[in-house]
Amino acid sequence: MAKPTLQSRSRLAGFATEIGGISLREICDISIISIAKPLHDHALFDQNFIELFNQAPPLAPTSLRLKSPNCRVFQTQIDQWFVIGETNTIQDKFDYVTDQSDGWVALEISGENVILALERICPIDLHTDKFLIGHFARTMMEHMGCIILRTDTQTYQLFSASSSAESFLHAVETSIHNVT
Amino acid sequence: MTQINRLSGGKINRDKPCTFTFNGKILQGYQGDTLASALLANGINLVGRSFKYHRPRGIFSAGSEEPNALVQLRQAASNEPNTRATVTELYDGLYATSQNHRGPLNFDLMAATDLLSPFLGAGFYYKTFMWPRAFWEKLYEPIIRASAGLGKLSGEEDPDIYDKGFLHCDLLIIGAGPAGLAAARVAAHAGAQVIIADEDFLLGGRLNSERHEIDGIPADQWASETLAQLQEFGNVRILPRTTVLGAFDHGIYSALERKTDHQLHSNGKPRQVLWRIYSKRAILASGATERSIAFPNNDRPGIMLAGAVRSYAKRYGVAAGKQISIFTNNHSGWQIAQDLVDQGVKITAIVDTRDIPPPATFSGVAIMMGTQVVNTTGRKALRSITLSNGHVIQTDCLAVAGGWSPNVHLTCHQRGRPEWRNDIAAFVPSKSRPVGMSVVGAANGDLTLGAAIKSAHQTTNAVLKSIGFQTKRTQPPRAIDEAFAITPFWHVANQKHRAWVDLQNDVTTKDIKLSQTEGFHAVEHLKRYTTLGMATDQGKTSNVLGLAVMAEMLGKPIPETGTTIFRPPYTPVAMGALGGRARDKNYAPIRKTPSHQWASEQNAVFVETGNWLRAQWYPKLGETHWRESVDREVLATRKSVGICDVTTLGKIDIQGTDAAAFLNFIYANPFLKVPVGKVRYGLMLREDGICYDDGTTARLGENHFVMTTTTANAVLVYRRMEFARQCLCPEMDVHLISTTDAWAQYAIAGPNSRALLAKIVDNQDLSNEVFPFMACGEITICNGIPARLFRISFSGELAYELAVPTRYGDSLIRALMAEGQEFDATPYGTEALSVMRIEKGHVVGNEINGTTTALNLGMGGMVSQKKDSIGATLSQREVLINDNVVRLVGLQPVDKSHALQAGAHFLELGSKPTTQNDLGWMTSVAHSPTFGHSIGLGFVKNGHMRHGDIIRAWDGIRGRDIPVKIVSPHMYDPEGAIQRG
Repeated sequence: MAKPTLQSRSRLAGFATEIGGISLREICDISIISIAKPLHDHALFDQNFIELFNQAPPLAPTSLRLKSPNCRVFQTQIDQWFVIGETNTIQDKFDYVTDQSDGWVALEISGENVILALERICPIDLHTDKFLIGHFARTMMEHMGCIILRTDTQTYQLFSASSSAESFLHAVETSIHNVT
Repeated sequence: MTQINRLSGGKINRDKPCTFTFNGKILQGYQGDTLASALLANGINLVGRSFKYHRPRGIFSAGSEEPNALVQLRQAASNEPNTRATVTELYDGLYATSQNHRGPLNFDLMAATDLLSPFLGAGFYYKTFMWPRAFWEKLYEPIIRASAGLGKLSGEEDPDIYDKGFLHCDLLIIGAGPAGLAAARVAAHAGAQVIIADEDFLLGGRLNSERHEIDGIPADQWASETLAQLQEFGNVRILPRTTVLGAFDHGIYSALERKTDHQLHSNGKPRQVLWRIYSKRAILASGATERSIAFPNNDRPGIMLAGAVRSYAKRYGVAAGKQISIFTNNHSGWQIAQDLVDQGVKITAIVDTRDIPPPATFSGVAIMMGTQVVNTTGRKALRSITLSNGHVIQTDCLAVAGGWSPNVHLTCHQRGRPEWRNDIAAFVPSKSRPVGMSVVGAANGDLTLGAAIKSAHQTTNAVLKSIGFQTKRTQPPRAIDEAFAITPFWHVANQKHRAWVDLQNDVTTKDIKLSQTEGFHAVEHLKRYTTLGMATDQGKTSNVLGLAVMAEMLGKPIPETGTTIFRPPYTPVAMGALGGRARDKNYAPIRKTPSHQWASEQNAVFVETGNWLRAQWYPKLGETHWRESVDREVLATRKSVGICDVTTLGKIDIQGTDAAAFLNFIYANPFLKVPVGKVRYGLMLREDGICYDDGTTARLGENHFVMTTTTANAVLVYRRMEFARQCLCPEMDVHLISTTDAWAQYAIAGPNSRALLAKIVDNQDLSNEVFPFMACGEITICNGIPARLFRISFSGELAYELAVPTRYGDSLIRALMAEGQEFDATPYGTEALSVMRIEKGHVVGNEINGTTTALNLGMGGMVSQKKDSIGATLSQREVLINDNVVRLVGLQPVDKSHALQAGAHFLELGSKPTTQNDLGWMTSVAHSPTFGHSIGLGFVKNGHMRHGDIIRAWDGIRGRDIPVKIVSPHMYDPEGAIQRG
């Protein structure tokens, strides 16, 4: 008997909007893995990392942006990194890998007054000369744990728990509404 | 009514008239007015009634220190009581009413209270209404509360919205008067990130009210030009209408920005924003507040602070009276007189308590040195003052200049105690102020303009250097050091009439005398005994005066009498602003399970479990009671197959060569030898041996485990494990990461669960031989979708838990229900889940409640003493393992028609309900459709030895007392044959 087919569904159904010059959209079908450095085998991990990414593992708050493989890497805690993007070819290179793709909802927010909106919920200092392009931080927004990543001059990506995706979206959307 | 007291000039926009309503009267002011200045311009000074005696009260100040002019602002649900008219920015359509009176303001029926004042001294209610005791709450207090007080809340939901936010800066400057602006100029040029906040809507502070020059131009012009320059700097953020409320640890300050309070409508935007400001350094430039002098009947409308009279004239173009007199003990009173004359205001007399030559002369102004005001007349408006030399002066406004108190409030927010300075007769900040805070200008006791600017300039340079900024060598702006000499004079002694110290709380010098007589000398006692310094103004104009009067009465210097300190907030904050967005359904984040949408389509009834919304039951058409739905779900599951979303259980991915050893340390029972492909139930203990949490952990690989925790403890368990990993077991190679949200997980339970699963799994043999009870594996379903399958059972049935990446969660529940149609597959919610776990005797938070041990739960044997694990040693304390401890049992009513009650206590038959006779308590109850009656779980002393005994379940709160039979907690399938089948 034919088995049923399962459909993939993003938590916010591909939400996208623009309010007062600030655009906000869900980044769908994102792939995230965490990789961890074995306690007793740092050298091998570092060697594998450099072979793969041509650089040493980045330390917070700096992230590493690569074109091949097409991904971004940033440190989420001591000896742990997230790789976001093209992760299929990476997984086998490391011992401790956990698929995090479905644990997060990802939003991209951009626009001229984006910092005015973010400062309503983000406790991090986002002054552009302090939180540089490529910087990221783990923080809380409206009681929800999240990661904020600056990808461009006026563009940020926000990652938060997928189960509270709607509340997170509401928090960000409200912030935009309140300042535009 | 025309604006009879309007002068020329002022910083108001006469091209923008504003129509407003006060007590039903339609009036007009201008943009740039406050409600107070507009009322004065219209000749209205009677604006309220006093707190206790219902005395007529007028506008007293021109700032946030205002004790008198409190009004109800706006209407209906938007009504806000106790709003200070002196800081309420006028807008077109403003609606205000006076408060705390019965009948019209002009004829307050409660004014008779004033006649009873001899009986209403400080603390009268404590002494008078002592008996009968029962009358206090029911009679006395309601009457007192109704007759005394401030404004009234609407009782309706606040229709406004509020927001919060976070700001960061190198330098926070609190106050945008001359010192604050001078500081901002230096910091802006140095390139520091600067925030300058001021509670006023027009920045410049005293510069807008006085007639000095800075750098050769009028001071107000200097202020506006400086502001314009600051606005050009990208590194300076100017926050008008923003009160810095509190100073907290690590350079954090709270500030309230009033975004739309100056508008009729907020247009859907937040009315106020509560900021948390992170600063490297802060400069307090909050200025000083003028004090009054306590003299008989000094509370009449028309008696005002002298600086306020000048502000109304210069800044707002309003004369506070037609014939103004000045009563002073210092030189600022004379400066104010000069400013008023220059502004075209008529001065009648200057009365100075000091016996010195007059500092100035004014044509047509009576000058009395070494003289005091000893009485006043005029019920609803000042008519005359009587002087100590016997003169009576007809005047409608008395400007009182009692000296200046630096606004030290924020320096006290971390218990800093100000120091007394005799030369200015005021408290100034001591060195014990918040770390990183510097104080400049009048707030630091530099009361002259030149000194204020100079200190701000120098201090800011030093502060910036301390955090690594290079500052340019510049000279501070030039300004004069005006005369400010003061000879303290606090109050006019008079036995006959009352002299007010605290206008807002109706505290007089007599009250202070009473406090002193009755032994309440300490400042803290004085405040609580008399209410001095309480309510919305927090004693800004009265604290120092009250303390000085007490010092005189005690015959001690002020520093020896005490020091008054302050706590946040600096000014009152609306509760809505503190709540911010956290209201209604946005009070807290909501977590939804992957099946939420589908469950909503089935009309599921949801319950909050932590932040999660879980389906509680799924009512079907025709079902009229939740029990019908739950019973059906239980029976259908036990008969065929039921499906429950268990995604909410915490999931922790554990990897590392020491993962097994780590789990062996975390759990009380052994985990070292769990085979790959197997699940084991685990029990965690606290360090003291009490149970912490339980769950199952699956070994997916040699170095890879997946733990499930209870829903409620998911975060706590993860945090606890992370602590153990980093601090207790740093030598272990183990890595943790939460995957709770990454997997959608469904329990599939019932005799047909295997058959249903077989329809969707790819190439996985589900037979008992290949995939037995407590097996687990990483599989695929539905042609290649990655999944995890666990053969575990919470219901006691043949059961599985199937997990797929969350993105497939919605689709999977739909597929399971579609494929399960041939088995009458039934979704079940948390209620049915609970019923089945009670039938089976599985414990949850009701039983693992922070007081129970493994032994209590019937799992004492699981706590291995052959290994080191958290809590293993202390779990063996004698008090926890003696024969008399409570044990988990099942309970059934002897009369099967009785319903059991959770929380009931157990007693022997015939024994009295006393603590000594208490045998234990009922933890969980349910109606079991499987057994057809109520069942329960509970703890009974030595209960494991008493199966079959009858005891009482006594519930004193609900008045129930029924006999129950002790049975095994495993009421359903006690041998476990079904779940292993």
